[in-house]
Amino acid sequence: MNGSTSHNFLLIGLPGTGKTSFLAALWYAIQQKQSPSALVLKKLDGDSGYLDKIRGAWLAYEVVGRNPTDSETFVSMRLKSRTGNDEAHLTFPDVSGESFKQQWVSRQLTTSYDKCLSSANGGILFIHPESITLPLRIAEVDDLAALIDEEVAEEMLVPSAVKPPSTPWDIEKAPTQVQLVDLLQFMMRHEHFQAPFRLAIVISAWDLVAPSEISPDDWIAQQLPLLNQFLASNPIKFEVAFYGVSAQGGKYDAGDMTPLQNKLPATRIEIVGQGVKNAHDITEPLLWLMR
Amino acid sequence: MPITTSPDIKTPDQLPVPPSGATAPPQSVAIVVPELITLPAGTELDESQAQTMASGRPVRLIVIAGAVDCGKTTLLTSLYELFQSGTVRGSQFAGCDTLPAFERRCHLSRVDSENEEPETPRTAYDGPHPQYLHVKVQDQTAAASHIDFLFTDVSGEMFEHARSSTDECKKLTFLRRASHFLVFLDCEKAVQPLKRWGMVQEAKSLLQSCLDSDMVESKCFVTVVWAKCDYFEAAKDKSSINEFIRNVEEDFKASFCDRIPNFKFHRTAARPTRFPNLKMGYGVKELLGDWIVNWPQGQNMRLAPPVDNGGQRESELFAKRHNAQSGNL
Repeated sequence: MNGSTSHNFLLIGLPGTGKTSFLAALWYAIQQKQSPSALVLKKLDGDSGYLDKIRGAWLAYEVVGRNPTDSETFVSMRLKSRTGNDEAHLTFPDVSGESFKQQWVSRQLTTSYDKCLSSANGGILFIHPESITLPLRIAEVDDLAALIDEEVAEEMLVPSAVKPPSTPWDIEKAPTQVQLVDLLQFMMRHEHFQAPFRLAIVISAWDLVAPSEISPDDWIAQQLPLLNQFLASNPIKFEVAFYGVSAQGGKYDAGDMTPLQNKLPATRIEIVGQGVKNAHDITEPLLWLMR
Repeated sequence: MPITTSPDIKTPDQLPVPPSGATAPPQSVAIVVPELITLPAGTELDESQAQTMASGRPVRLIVIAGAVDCGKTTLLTSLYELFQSGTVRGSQFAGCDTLPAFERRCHLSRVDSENEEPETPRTAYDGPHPQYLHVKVQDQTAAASHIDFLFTDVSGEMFEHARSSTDECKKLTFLRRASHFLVFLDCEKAVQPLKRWGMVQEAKSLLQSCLDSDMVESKCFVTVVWAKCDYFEAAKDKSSINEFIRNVEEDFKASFCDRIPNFKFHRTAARPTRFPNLKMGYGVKELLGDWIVNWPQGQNMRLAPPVDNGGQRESELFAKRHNAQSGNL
């Protein structure tokens, strides 16, 4: 960041992947001094009603409401470096996850999002570890069952006499990694796509993954290998960095909330990943995008 | 494939898109009901779409031929499924213009279908009009960073017509563009004495018809694929099976080797059900490797090394060493 710059970032993600929670935590983080973030709000400017509302829910340990399917909210922030005089003007459309889902299902995107794509010079792709659809093959499941029970293995070699009807194909149930690859391909094909496009991959609810002591990039390679290959084989199109972010700090419905409530709001936020200096600084992916 | 705007959709006069200029926007702007733009469908490519793709960049066309229900589509879905779980022999998945088309074909072999046994939907016959599936890969060993593959996915009925008539075969114009031509032999039929020789004859007739009608060019790589070879592995009378395989392969070689310089046999079990020791995509990885390494245009690029003139200049000595290492001398 050098002087005052303008950035248009996309927040990309299927439904329930933590985009709005991230925004809510970010809106709090840039206005507090409990755990200094690298970027801070320069000044309030205009109507911040939507951001205030989602921040209120986040501070009250309430699930931050999702954006309605048929609407798009455009968010803009004037930030500055905490330690220097560099300034940045960030804008992002807080598009509903359903809208991204519709890109895959109905093969349509909104004109306003299309316009955002034209001016975007970076983005954050959100992935939630609990909302991943895997490409589960019948044979794969049978193989696992056979490992447990030899009788099952023998039964599988004998075709059953009566075949129940198959459930029809539903495009909505396609594997998450396939849907995400297509979303990125739509971006790549856009006539104003700016390559190399900086893409921060944020695995939200990282508190669910953290106990396994895996890094965010290894987690993506394990859980979403098709997406991982796609990103690795298209370095000219996408420059990527991987982050694990817990914007909430933990599950709200996990019983005793006392440990979470005893923390300062800013230190509820946990982040790991490439070059992260402050494990509570949710602005780190933005810093990387703005570099 | 470009993103197109639906003609019946009007763009709003004032969109709340953040400007990149100097005027400061508010922290949050109004909510709008969105208008829509149509994206590429991601379905199978037709002839015209395939040709458009091939006109813009080098594309390797893999034609998969064989009788109805011999496993042509299953081979394609198994390749796609292999990429779902990781790289395939060092090749990375780099993109696909037909993701929904692949997903539809994989459905009946996935748990979501609630099938007890994996299946593949039968490809419908719609005249001599092929459908194409697309996969882009990146291979560490290949000279090209990305390789675009187009695979035909056509009904066995199309090839039934082609094997009986060279006129019908000539309608399959896509054959001429093939980098690789795969002719399937169905091992499920090969283990049934009443069906085996008829199945082999049909495959031979198809290849014969394609060659006699000049639809398969001599530079094309032709592979006769023993598909569903898990039936061979599960067969009790191995010696009889091996004898049968030997007879068939000798017959094919005697019939075609002089007309097809790049001719080979291969075994696959794309979705083995009869022999649990074989894993999904058995033999498919090797086929992909073959398609990456061998292609007609690549062959043309293999220039013959210069004749050794006995020179002792450094460049000449280097060339000698280099050619010796490359096996060119």
